[in-house]
Amino acid sequence: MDSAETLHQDEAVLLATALVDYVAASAGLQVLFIKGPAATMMGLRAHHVSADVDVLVRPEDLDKMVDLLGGRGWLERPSGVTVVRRYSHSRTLYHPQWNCDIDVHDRFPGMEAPPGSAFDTLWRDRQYLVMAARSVAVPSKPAAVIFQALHSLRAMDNPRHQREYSGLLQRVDVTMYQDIVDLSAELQATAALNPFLDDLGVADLRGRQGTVSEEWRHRTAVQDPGTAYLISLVESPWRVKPLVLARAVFPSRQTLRERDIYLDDSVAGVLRAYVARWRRGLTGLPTAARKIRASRRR
Amino acid sequence: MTEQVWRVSPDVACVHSPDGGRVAVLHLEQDVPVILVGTAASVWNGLDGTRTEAELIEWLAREYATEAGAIADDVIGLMRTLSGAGMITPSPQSEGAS
Repeated sequence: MDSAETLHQDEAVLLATALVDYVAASAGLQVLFIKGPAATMMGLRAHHVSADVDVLVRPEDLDKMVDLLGGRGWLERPSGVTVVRRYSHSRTLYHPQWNCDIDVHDRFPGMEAPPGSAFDTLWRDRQYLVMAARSVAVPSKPAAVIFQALHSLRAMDNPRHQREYSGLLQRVDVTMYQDIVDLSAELQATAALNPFLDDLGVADLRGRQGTVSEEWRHRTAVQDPGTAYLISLVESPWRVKPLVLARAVFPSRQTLRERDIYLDDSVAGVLRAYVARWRRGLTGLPTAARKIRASRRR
Repeated sequence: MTEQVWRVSPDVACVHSPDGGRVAVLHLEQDVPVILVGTAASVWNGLDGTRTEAELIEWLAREYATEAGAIADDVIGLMRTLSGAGMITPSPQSEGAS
């Protein structure tokens, strides 16, 4: 056995999928693997190496799943931006000896049904795929289409998301349209999926409904901590604004570590991190302001 | 003497490279994977649950166009390591040949 060889990221993601499935099954937890290799294997996206494992658990199992993986050496990445954390839907874990993360989701943005009932629906329709020589549960193909579409729609100013979205539109077979509409109604995802359903040309199918939630509007506007802080600054009462501004300009070490888990903890190291942050913040300010204005017009 | 065959443990996950020259293996009770490359990957690929140790060595010798005696010690050493790590388990040949 050659210990000098390093784990490739594609290997890591598949093996970590098998590990999560095994750890969950050992504790009697139900898990579904969403996006990533499952979407590729279902033919819903072109092959590219994922950076993480995305696993959906029942909301009441989130803490237990994170604890179980903690027992296997997986540590939680700090999440320091309050505004982003407000709509937290997953917890991200890393392991010092693995080159991929594990995102444990207890719900998925854009699906407005209560998370437990959304999981029940997705679990009812599950199928199994073989990953790393293990059979693991994944969503049905229509559900996988919905996950992919919502994932892309959340950040359509990202060129990769645009490419994946265009690819998805071409890959979805017309025979699936009604199943997608019916399932999205059951998951209460129709409102967020409206642009996708329009682009598929299924405007006349029954089951389309709803308006997007405040969370979805927020998510599609806020892609980065800079925008999150700017929104927080604008929305906060005047007496709180100085505190928000101070947190944005001089964040805690924990917040800095969110971007760089190997943060140099010395005064010089933290100062360097501040300067890099200020530079990014100033550069991104016009875009952030534009996004917020656009979001408020919707 | 009952001949035994080696099979991959049911608690193992593995990812093969497309050319078969590399295998990433994780025993699911352990925390980090191991990587097998080259001849070690070939040994892993040869664990089909039907070959005895001697048959595996013969098969590898043919694959690498060499004498069985020249590779036997290395193959047996690797099998012992994999077995010690719980990644492969022995079973009687009749069971394996089913």
